[in-house]
Amino acid sequence: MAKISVQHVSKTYKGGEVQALKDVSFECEDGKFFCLLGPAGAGKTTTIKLIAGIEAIDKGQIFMDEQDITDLLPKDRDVAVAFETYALYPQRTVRENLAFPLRAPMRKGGMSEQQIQQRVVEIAKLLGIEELLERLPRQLSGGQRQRVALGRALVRKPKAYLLDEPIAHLDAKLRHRMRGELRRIQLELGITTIYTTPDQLEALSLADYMAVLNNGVIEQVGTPAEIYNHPINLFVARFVGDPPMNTLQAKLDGSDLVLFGLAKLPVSAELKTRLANALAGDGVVVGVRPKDLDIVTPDSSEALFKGEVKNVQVLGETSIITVVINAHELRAKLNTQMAPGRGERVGLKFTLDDCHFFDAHTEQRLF
Amino acid sequence: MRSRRYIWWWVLPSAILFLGIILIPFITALTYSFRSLSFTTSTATGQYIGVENYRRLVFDQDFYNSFKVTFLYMVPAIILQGLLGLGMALLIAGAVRRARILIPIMLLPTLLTPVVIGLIGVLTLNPDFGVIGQFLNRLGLVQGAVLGNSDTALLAIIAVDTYQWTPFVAVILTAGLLALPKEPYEAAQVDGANRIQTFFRVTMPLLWQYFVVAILIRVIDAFRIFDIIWVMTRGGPGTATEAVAVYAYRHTFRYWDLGYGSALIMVIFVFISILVEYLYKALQKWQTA
Repeated sequence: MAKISVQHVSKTYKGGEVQALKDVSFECEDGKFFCLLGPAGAGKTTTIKLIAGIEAIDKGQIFMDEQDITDLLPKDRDVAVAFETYALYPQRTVRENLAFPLRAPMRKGGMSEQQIQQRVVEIAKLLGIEELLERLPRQLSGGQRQRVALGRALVRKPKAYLLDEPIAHLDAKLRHRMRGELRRIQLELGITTIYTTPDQLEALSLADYMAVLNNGVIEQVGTPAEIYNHPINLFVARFVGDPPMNTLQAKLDGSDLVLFGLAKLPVSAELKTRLANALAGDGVVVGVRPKDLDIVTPDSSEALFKGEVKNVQVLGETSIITVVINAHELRAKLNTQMAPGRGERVGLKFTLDDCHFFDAHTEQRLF
Repeated sequence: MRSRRYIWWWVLPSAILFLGIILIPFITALTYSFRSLSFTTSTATGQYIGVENYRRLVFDQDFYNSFKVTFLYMVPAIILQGLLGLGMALLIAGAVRRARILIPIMLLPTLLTPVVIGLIGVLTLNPDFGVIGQFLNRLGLVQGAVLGNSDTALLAIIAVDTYQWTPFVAVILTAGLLALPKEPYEAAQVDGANRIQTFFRVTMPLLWQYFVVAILIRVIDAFRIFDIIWVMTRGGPGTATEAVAVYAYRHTFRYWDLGYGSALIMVIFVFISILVEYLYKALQKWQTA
């Protein structure tokens, strides 16, 4: 168990042509579950490889507890990695793949053959692959291989787990179950875990702390609640939360905030002064989460926007409706029983309390 | 569909080639093997004699000897070429990119015709003026001509064959090594495997299929070895280096006994087919063992 601290790490590929990571810093406290969230190509796998020591760092340092591990060999870092691409040993059975980390010479002596076998079966049961132990990787489906890859990481009790999209290729139901299992295992063992995922829901539901990574740059670090409730910029606002946050261009007209040049929202003098700087420039972007939008009748005085329902997506208890207002689209998440039908005209309303304000030019959060 | 008819035009060139240089000669040889046909015997004019040629072959001690010689040459030669080729491949694949220029240079012996390689062998092994021949004599390892001694002639052929074909094996294995996925190596690094474990648990299993290809090509080729032997020893001294192809050649084109020669070739053909099939399965099984 250890605290992992990544400090000002940069990494380029192809002789500097491709900047994979740019001045990345974050810290994962001892025993915590840390999620790296970002779209494909954000630098998540690179981060994992650098922490594991598989690739060399160009600039910056990585610490484990207070020890600088930047130049340590992977085997001396005592971490276990679940690779996104599985990286199973192709000509070894599942059993041998799982046992291999326990058999490596430097960790030998710790466990008897019987203990190793016991541990392998234990992990296989946990991951629901005990029937596959004698198979070869090529005889397994993608999801099964991924579980073996995850098992090969979890079989040891290292200082840290580095899990690179470890459940991305499982089917939805199994993914849901594995998410719960992973969190349970991690809490039980208390082993520091760094976990990457492109799925914001996975990050929000698993992490103690998370970082949002985009184009090799950390956009924001915080608890899931902080990141969901106070996204630091438009990228984070749109990336975290499903469906993504609605963003509306706004200008000031007298004491009213004009959204999309259509709806007028009266603002207090206080809010006006807080927005003054941004309004003087390119204007403000107002963000509203779909859950904070409400439906009213189109001729209601409360309706900020009037539009036509273009699409209704039923998710079970809730539904997502897409409303077209002139050329703009807004999404609202509603209780399915309240949802209007396709083609209906509706009004939309929300309150200023639920709004996030961003500078239209810098895309940074104003408050 | 109109395109259906055109398909035959595309197939035609290779069909003609296949018919002309493989199928027709093969069928001709097959029919010869059931006939008595010799250009040097006035009574052997191609009359049908059933399995007489094959019966004769069963009792032919020289024929068995030629099989023994073939294996005595083939097994050590291929093991040697496999090991040396692997070593070379590991060196090349591990070398920096610039060293890859070595690959075509290394391939030179393989690109030369076996007759030239054989001649190089004859000349360098000559006890009077050959570099290696002189050297071996001075060291006292050999008395007189290497190729004139039935104990050393086959060794010389193995050495020359290895000189020619090791680079071929090395190139296939190098291609294999450079194409291996890097993820299992990364996993092995993290798992704490040492170099020997990494080699046997990651490299060898992944490389094995390339190995199988190289070995099978070499086995098929080695079984037909002719040029090098013909240039170096003509199968001698005595029958010490008379491999099956040399033996078949002698009967067909020296004694002009086309009937018997064809029967020999048919037996060799069937034998190689069975050998390769069996070997392929065995090597495949070994991979997963």
